[in-house]
Amino acid sequence: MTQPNLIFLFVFSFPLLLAQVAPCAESPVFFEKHCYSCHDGQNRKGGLDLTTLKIEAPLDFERWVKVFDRLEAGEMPPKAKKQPSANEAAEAQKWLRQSLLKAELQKRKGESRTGLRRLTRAEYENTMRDLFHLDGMPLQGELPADGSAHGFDNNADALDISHVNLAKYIEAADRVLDMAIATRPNPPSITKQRISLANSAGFVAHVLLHGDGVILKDKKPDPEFPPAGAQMHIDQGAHERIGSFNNGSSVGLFRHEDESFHPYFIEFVTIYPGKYRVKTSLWSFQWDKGQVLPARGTEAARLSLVTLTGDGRGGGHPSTVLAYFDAPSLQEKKHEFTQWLNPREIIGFNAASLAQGGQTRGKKRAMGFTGPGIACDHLEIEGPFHAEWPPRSHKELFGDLPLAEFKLAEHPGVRPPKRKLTRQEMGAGKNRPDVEPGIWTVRSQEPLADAGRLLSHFLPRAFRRPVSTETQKHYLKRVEERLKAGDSFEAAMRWAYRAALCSADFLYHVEPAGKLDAYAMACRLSYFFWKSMPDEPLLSLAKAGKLNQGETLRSETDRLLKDGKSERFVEDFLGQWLKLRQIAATDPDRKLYPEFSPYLQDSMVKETRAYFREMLDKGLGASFLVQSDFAMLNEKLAVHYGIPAVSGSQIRRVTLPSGSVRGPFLTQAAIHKITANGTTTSPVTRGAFVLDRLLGQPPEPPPADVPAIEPDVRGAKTIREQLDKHRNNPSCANCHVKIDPPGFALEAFDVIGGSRTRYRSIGTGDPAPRGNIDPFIGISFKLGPPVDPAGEFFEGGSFKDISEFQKRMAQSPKLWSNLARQLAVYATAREVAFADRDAMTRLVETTQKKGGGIRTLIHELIQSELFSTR
Amino acid sequence: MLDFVAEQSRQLNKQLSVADRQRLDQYFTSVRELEKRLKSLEEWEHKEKPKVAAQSPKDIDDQKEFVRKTGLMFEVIKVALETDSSRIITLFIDTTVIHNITHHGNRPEVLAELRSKEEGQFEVLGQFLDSLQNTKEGGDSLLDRTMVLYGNCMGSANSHSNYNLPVLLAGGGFKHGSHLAFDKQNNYPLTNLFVSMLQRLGIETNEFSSGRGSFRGLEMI
Amino acid sequence: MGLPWKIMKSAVLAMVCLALPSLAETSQNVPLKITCQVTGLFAEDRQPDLRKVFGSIPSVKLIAIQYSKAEVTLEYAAKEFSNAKPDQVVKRLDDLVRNASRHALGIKPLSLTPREKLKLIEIQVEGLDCKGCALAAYEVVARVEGVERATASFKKGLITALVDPSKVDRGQLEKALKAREVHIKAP
Repeated sequence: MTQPNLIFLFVFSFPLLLAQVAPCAESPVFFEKHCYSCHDGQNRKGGLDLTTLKIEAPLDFERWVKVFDRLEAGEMPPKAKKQPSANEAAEAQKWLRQSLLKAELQKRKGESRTGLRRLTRAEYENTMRDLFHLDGMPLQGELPADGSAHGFDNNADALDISHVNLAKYIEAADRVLDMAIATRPNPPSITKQRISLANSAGFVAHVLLHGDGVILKDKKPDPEFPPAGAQMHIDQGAHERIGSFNNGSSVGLFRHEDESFHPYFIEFVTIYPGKYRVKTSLWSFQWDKGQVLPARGTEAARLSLVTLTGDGRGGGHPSTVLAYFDAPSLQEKKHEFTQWLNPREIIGFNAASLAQGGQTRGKKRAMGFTGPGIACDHLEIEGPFHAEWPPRSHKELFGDLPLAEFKLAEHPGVRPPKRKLTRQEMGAGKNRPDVEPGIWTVRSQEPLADAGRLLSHFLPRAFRRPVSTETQKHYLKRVEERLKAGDSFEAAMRWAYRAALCSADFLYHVEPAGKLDAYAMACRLSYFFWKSMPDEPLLSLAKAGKLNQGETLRSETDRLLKDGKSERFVEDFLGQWLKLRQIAATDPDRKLYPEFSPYLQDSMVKETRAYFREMLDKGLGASFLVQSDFAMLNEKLAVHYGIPAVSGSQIRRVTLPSGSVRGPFLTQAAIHKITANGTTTSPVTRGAFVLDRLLGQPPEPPPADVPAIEPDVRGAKTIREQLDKHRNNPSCANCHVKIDPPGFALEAFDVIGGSRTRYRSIGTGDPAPRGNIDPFIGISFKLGPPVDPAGEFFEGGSFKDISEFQKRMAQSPKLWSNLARQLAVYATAREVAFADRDAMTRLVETTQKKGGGIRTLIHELIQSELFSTR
Repeated sequence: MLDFVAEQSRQLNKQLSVADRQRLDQYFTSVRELEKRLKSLEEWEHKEKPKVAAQSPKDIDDQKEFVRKTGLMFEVIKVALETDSSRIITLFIDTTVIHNITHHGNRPEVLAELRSKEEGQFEVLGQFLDSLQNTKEGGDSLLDRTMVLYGNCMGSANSHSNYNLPVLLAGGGFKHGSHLAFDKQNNYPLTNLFVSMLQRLGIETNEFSSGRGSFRGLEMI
Repeated sequence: MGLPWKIMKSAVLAMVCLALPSLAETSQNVPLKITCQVTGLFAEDRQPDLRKVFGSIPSVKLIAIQYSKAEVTLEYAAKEFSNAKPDQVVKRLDDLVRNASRHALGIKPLSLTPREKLKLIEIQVEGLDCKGCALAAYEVVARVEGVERATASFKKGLITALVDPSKVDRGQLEKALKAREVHIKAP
């Protein structure tokens, strides 16, 4: 009777044994032989227990992929252990690869690779702007931040939606419709206003009293307003009233903006949103105790867009930089540009290239000061300009329906459309609104017919694809209900438009499973390069079925990249891939890095964007990510980097002197700043950035029990010396042998991307030479221990400095594969699947064969099956 | 409008795969949630609120007045609790203005400046707790009826270490007057404290985030 | 003498003028003259500014400026100020002048205090030779209760004030100036 029990036991124990040995059936003995001694339940080296890892479980799948990668790279088993034969290793990899493919296929059964996702903040704003032709409509700032998955925010996993988002979308739709709908028969009058930098109630007028600036007439001190000297001026108000500041003279400024000084052109506060023409005239000079002399060179002034909040008083209102402008020595340079302005926006000014600090504070004030100044002759704002009226935004909603005055008596039972009173909200603004013409709104003789027609125009545009007649009927039905309930035609249509803009059809990227249809392809292209909806030409090509042809895809890619809207791609892609969005995350310590300024920071970002643009336009290859013979610089950056003979605020291509390491992303200041904090650098942070962002080999996170390093800027120990404790530990060395080398090479650059051979310190050290630092900036930091930028490559070989490191890294094929991967992830809004790896490899191979660098890579990507299928 | 958009989006749902339907489900949930909230907001607007004799607080413009601004926010929080305007309040004290000195690099003069700013923070915290204690509500003090959790996400701002976090719990619901110390090398999860606090609010749960049970050493009263 | 007499004199003058022309002319069209005090005339070279301001006011004509007395004689068409009593006229003129000069200049009624009763105070000052600063210093002094009129010039380094000594003294003026950062020269 015991026999059946025995059999019972035996039959059940056998599979149990097998289960202990391998994660799925028929795994090679390879793992038992070469892996389990370290990676089993007991030892768990590196936290990895291969015996219980199930390939089918999603998280374990990721770990198995890592196992595969390490096997393929020959990194495992470690060199110290017994190595498998070439055949053994190849067999194991082949088996693992097939298992992974099978498991992945199983995982994705019935699912698309790209998940359903909504528009990101940037995509939402740009889509609305393009849909309504409202170039500068501000929307992003009001929406909650998106998440991030696989490095980008346009991935389905990064784009959750909650009632908060929805509430914000409703508000945003209302604001857009408010701006889009014409409420007057004629456009607002075009006004022109010329404003002095010393405008009424402004900060500049105030500081002129005590000599932080002067009034200049014919390039000499204005006799009506002598420079402040032993005496200062009294009573800003009296001066403003008697016209000392608005007699057509220029304002020469010696002071950079700071916490208590915000030069604003506050006499014009935008009332009507739209396009305005902005003109200014700038020059620079050297001031010597009352004399105007030739300047030290071309200075740079910054204009920004400032949104007044509250009652508009005081400074520090939120602002964004518009651009930098040259101010040549003793010669007025006229600058002109068109800018979209929103209500409550004003133009702000900064003497950006001047050193920050109180230079004119001596007893003799301006009459005792010798130094550079920037002169502004005036700022002129003219507008708003409308190419047509009613504007295009209105026509997208109401076509050519005439506008008429809404007289209550003529519309019994109908509520007049809501109107907001237009007024000059800010006391300091001198411009005034036009007289309101009463309530004007579209008039429809056949409301339902018109509504149907208008909806059939708007809905497909908003939803970026054809809309069924059934859906249109649903919207039309609601319009009818609203009309019956007493809404005006405008209000009833508005209801429908608002609903459309809050519907999933608008908020989500709608793509069929499998091969993308023409409209989905058009959207993929336009959201890749413009972060927005397709334009008319692209849509026509989609309609005509031409988007499945390689030639069309190619020419459209070129067209979209050539269009100015492609700057959105450069900004959005680099902002995430190279983390440029974090450029302002830290403030460099004022004592250690006194030469840091907003102008430098803005220039850094421009450099990185311009460099990428150059790579795109000239079709440069992946080696240019780390090594280059040119750089994109302006004078500020050139001086910072020690590159001679570059003048002016505009970024331009500069051929580098031989031996210069500057130019590529690896050696750009923006990258150095983003990978450091305000005080110190860390080879680990920088090394991890290089591995992850440039080579596509992100290191594992540090083990939980490793204490953080306490930076010490008293100058006693270098960060490298402090790190040594980690690196000499064999279990740390495993990862650090890869992370540290790029980090060490980059120790050649400080937290603001300047070159250094010695660390700056506050405590002990030798006096620091001034170098390229502006003579007006006080230097109190010292030179501490020397920088040691040498290291050993993980793969073997050593380097003594960044130059040697750069040369070798430029040859790494990982630069190509990672670049391709980043672009693919961004363009297809999904992670690269294991099954897609071959396609990616082919992409890179074809690109290298054809030549044409990143440009060709992008073309090949667009033509690939990866791009055209969901 | 909300049920119209939900209805429209159901059309979309039909063509989607299982995982995609789950994603779009978030959208439907958001629509329903928003509807509920708008409704309860409307009801809330018409509800009677407790009256207090407090003046409208005036903001301090100078960003450098870090400690005073924090104190001002505490005052606003007290009034919010008093008027039942909210029962759960989170304050993020933005230390950007002193960020540079938190990276003290062990410089003595920076440490001294940092110390004075931090002592100021504790002073206003103390004043806040006092003000809650001195406000009566239904026989208790407001402090008795509120849990106040004050802490930091970094054990050392200088190194950005997220271990050994200093945390302070005050108010009602638990027995206080002690210091609970845990292993410095193998930290005890703070998330267990959140579990205890949720339980104290009457939410039946044994886990929250990485927390797997209630907080050791904390006695509920 | 003072205001009522001067007004009566103008009114008599006006009536005389009215009596002479033909009956066809209505009283509305005959210009009326008025002499009043001007504020903001702190230096001789303010006179062209004053002229310019009146140039921009179509309803009023500047006949003469008596700088030393800070007085102006103006001519205006009665219809522009129809039914306005004399003191209302002055107020209206003040509004017009202030609006046209951003409050740097103004009109007020002639002083009631006889000249013999007024005292001239001279204060030596140091400051920038700047129109705006002169206006500022002038206003500090002119606004003090009891100051009839004043001048200010940093070019000359001199501020003068014609005051009613029963209401104000040098010390008060100096104090007011110091409070506004005007540097008073040590004697």
